[in-house]
Amino acid sequence: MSVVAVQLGQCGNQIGQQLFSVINSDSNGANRKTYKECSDERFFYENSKGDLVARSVLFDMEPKVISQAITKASKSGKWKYGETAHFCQKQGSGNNWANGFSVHGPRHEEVMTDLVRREVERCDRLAGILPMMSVAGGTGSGMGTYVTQCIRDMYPNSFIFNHLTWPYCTGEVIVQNYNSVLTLSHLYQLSDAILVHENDTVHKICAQLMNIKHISISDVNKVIAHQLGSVLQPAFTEHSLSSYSRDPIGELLCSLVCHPEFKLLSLCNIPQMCSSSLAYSAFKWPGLLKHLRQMLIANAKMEEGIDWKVCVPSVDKSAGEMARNKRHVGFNTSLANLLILRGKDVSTADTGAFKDSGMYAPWLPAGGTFSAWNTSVPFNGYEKSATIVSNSQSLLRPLDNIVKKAWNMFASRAYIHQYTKFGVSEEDFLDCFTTLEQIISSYTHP
Amino acid sequence: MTQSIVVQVGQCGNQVGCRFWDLALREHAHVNKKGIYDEALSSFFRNVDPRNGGGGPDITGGRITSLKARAVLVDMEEGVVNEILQGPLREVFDSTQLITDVSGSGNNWAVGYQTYGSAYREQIVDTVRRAAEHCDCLQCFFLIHSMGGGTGSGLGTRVLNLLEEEYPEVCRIVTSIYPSAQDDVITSPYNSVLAMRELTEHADCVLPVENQSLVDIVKKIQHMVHSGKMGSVIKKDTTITSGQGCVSGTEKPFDAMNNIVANLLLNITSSARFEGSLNMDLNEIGMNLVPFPRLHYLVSSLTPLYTLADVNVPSRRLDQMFTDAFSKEHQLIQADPKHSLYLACALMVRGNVQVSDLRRNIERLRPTLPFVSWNKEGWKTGLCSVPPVGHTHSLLALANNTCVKPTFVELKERFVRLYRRKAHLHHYLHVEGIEQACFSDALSSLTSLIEEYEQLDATKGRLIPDAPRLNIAL
Amino acid sequence: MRHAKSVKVKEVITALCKLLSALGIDSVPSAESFRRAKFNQADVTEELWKFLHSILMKVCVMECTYQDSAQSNLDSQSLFVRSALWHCGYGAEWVLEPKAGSLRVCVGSRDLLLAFGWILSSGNPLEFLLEEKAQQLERLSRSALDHMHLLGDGDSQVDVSGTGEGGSKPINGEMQLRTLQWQYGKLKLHWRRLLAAQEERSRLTHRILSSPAPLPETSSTDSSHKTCSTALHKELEQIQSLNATLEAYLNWKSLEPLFWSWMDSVIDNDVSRLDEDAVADVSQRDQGIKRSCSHAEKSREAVKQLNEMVQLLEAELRLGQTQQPDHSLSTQGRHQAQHLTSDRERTEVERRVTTRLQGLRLTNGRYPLPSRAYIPCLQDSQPAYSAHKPQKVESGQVRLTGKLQALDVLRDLKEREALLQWKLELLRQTQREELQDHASTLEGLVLIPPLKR
Repeated sequence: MSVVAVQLGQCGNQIGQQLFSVINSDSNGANRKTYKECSDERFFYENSKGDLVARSVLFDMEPKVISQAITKASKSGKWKYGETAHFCQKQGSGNNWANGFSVHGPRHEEVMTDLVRREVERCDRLAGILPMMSVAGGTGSGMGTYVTQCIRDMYPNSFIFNHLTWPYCTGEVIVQNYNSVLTLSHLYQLSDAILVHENDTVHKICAQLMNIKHISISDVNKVIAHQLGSVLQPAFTEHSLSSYSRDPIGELLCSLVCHPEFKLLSLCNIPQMCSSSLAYSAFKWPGLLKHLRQMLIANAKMEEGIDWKVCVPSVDKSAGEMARNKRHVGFNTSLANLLILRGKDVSTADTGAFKDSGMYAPWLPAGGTFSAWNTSVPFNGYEKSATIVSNSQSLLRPLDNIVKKAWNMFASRAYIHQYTKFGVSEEDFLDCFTTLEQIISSYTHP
Repeated sequence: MTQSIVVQVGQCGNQVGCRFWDLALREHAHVNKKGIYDEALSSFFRNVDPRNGGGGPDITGGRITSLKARAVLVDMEEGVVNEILQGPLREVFDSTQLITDVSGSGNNWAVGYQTYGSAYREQIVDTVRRAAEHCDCLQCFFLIHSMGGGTGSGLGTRVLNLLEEEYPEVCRIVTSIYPSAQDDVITSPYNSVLAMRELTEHADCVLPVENQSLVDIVKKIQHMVHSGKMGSVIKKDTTITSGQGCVSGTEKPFDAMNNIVANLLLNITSSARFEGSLNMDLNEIGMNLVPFPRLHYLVSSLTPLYTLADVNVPSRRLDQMFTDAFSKEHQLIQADPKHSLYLACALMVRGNVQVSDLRRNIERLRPTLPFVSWNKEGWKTGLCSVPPVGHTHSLLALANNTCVKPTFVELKERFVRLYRRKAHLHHYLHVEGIEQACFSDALSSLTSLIEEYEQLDATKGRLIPDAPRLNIAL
Repeated sequence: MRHAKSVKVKEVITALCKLLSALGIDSVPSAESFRRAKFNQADVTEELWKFLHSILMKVCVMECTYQDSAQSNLDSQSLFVRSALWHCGYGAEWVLEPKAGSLRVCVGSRDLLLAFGWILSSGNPLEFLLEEKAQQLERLSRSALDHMHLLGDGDSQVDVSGTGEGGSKPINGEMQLRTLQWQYGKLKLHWRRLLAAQEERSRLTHRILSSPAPLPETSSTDSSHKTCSTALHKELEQIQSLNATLEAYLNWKSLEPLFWSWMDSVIDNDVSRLDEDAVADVSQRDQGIKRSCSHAEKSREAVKQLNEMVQLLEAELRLGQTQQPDHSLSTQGRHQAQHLTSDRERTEVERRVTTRLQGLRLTNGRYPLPSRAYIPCLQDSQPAYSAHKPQKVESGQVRLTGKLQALDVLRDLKEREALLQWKLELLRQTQREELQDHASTLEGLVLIPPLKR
């Protein structure tokens, strides 16, 4: 049972490298033999020399980032990337989604799909494919979308779980909103679930929780990798109580994204702090879970500055609709949640508060909305930690912002010539906008 | 790694180019202490066996043996090119890269464009092709020329056409030196406007530089140097003012000005050459900064400027660097971007600067800068970890801003003043293939360009509501 | 030449015998017995009775349990064979109008051989048995798999009814639709998970099978590993046996034409006997055939009834579709919610529809196929053999002739459905164009087509 990562573009390659390094160092902690075995099988394989090799392929259109990632991995001395598991060209996609999707993707389809296939065939059982990319640039977003499409064609029944990094609201790439709209609308049809990290949110976590003065891209990536790792590392699930789950991606998807209109997942975790203060902190499960639940329902990605006034609307059985109409403004309605608890005394944690049916959309089948995984193995240096993967309204606002800005730009037809140059027409744009408006509408009225 | 070719045309173009090659060599020498021919070096230089001259095959990897510039030098008189060939830079060029004539273009765009353009067409195409064949992955042509003279504007824009014809996929970034209003060449308005039409239609990006702005900046640097308490102690290895390596061995009047333009080119390519946490490739410039194909004139500013020159000036805080980049004094054309409309803006930062510094400064400056309604957050950023020689950090701001309009308007007025009287027109019409229609076409091209900027500028300050969104019927 | 041919025939019949025993048929006669039966030798009659009994027992699963005690009795066996053949619509004289006296006396071995040929040629008994066998293995290996925790999953029992406790919630049509979609999505995800598990299994077995050396001893002394290996071993055996069966089947399939040409020669022999017999018998025989036809008439009627029902259902389905063009999945549920208020009524209808559909075996396979890895593709287009099982008499027993018709009718219906769909699409298209025309005349209105799902 293994996961194959596909690292795409600058962002995908940086985060991917960081993720493998987090996973590896976490698995090498003390007293976790079976945990390590399971994690190693999930993310690594052993080559003939006995080295641990990441189950990952690296794609980029320019060589700098990939060579950095490969060097960093082999410098760790613990693991490395496959010697031929990467593909890069000399010239980037120039932030142009259309260039990545219509030019670079098709041009290099064969070698890229070959690399993916080789990695997939190495697995006894493919748990899922994890393409990682940003939506802002050209290579990650455009070529990433194309590669995801190829993977879907190759493996129509395998799980594709996309990890996307949404750019800062401003300042990364000017056409980022166009690129995001094009990427998201395409991936929504291809992928089984889309897990999103927003750079702005993670940046705030770095500043306020991690106390980093000069935040670098690598700090942001470390937080993302930590959060991702806390989801992907081995855990006991409801259907696999005595051994680590053999099908983590499948179980995650089954509990979270059964409806084709609702595929966006967000993530929050607790606690998150700099290592120096971690040593002086003690946490209890009830406190952690109380905070995490409030973060979830008030749609806060950090424990700091949570709006404690937000509460779950009571479901009055006789007049359910009435009660829902009066719900608190800041309330974040969920469709499904998956809670992952890691660390000491995990069996004592009471997760009942997450089962409140008032937190969820009314049409969901009772009992199908909440799942919990756990393991007593502490994660990445945190004695206790809790992560929630949520299919909820929390990404509605940022998504709406992206579409709004892109639509404004589209209304004046700015930058469109850069896309038509590579065969993406105005009609294509309109289709994509329509898809996203549909998604927004679905999440607005869950 | 990609490669770029510099095509320098005319006297001014060659002088600027010469400074560029000097500074580029020194920058790489500073970063690359081991003398290994690396990827970064390969973007502008070939490594060849010196025994074969420039004709031999490239040596990839290993030690630097003999570096050859990826350049094509074109001038229709011999003076400047000969000087280069006798100076310290002679090693990086060989005769096959040069295209010269003896008689010059007589400050006549038509002679450069038509007469020489046709006569040297084959030779130019061949020379460029040779340079291109040495490239593994040719990404960009940098054309350096002036707008006022005959060779630079005429033959320069003709070369631009040829490049588009032969390499339509390769990005063309043009650095154009615009003449001052008090230019001593009387036909310079004709030459500039005729060249403008070619630039508008055939370039991907144009970085306009005005002579007057360069003069002002150099004056300011000198002022800082001389008013310094400790006198004029010039930091030796800073790039902007040092005369080391220049053609005649001693500093010449234009060298300081040309250094500024050369630095512009160095910084714009830095992210493509060196590592960084947020790469900004050359093809990202056009993609992010050019919302409409004709509006590709990018106003640039370099900071810090004169603080570089003198060790006595305390190193400015990082934030000052960002503030300065938007001030009128630091622009390379005579314009005030803050009081015009931004269509888009790119910040290319070098040195020890983090994302959080970038974010802080963008947030700080944003409220003071007017952006077009549909691109309120039109910022593109690049972080290159290698700073310029002698600095801890530097910033190049590229703005697509309607502030270029006054420069064009003034140019147009000067053109019209001459054209109304039909002054000197016969010199042009004399040249085969040139008709009066060329003049009226060039004028209307410029006029419509100005109008396009005008229309965008008019939206400034107006509250434009969001475009009504698509509705999904439930 | 002749010798070579007879050798070939022997080989063919041997292949068939091998396949039949692999499929679990008891008392399969030898090739020689077949040959002797061709010439109506009396010494093989008993053997063939037993054989026919055994095969008919397998193929026609009885609704009521057959008395075990009677099995030993050859007379009752032959009675069973006769009635089973009659049920299946075999129109031979001895089946329809048995002469007085013991069956075993008056029926020759050639008659029985011909009956066997009829069984073999009507329906697909071999394929049916093969499917049974494969699924049997499937069930077995699945239990083994569960034991190994490979699946790690026990929540396949999804609340498909969609209402669950939600009955108390005020759920409108839109919400119900979404619930259904959610449940459907969940089922699909489960299916894909099972598929992945299956792939892993086949990969592992392949590795075990193809490894030249005995597997290295697992270092772990974990008991679960041990059970794993025994479970795997068991599974391996099962797979090998299935492989053998499949091979036998393939072998038979390649030789089948020869068998039928041989069967022709048997018929020729029989016909030559008939020529010797009195001509008077013929009319009697015709009568018998007529009677069997009346039997077919009944089934034809049932098919007609079913067709009407299908048409009715399709019409309703289409009605629902036009009401809710994008959510075809939900139409049924929605329709029911509107028209059938009582739960009992609904379940009753559902039950009826299911039994009818089962009678038709419109869907392929009784179990949700968890994998295609081991189940050979059993001729999707053909309805399974059970269509003419005696148990289905009351719900529309369909004989060979009737079944062919049902197939035709189904095909017709499909064609008509496609035609109607096409017309519907055409109508939709024109509607859309009209709408677009309208929209284009209105300022500031953009028409967005509904999202494709």
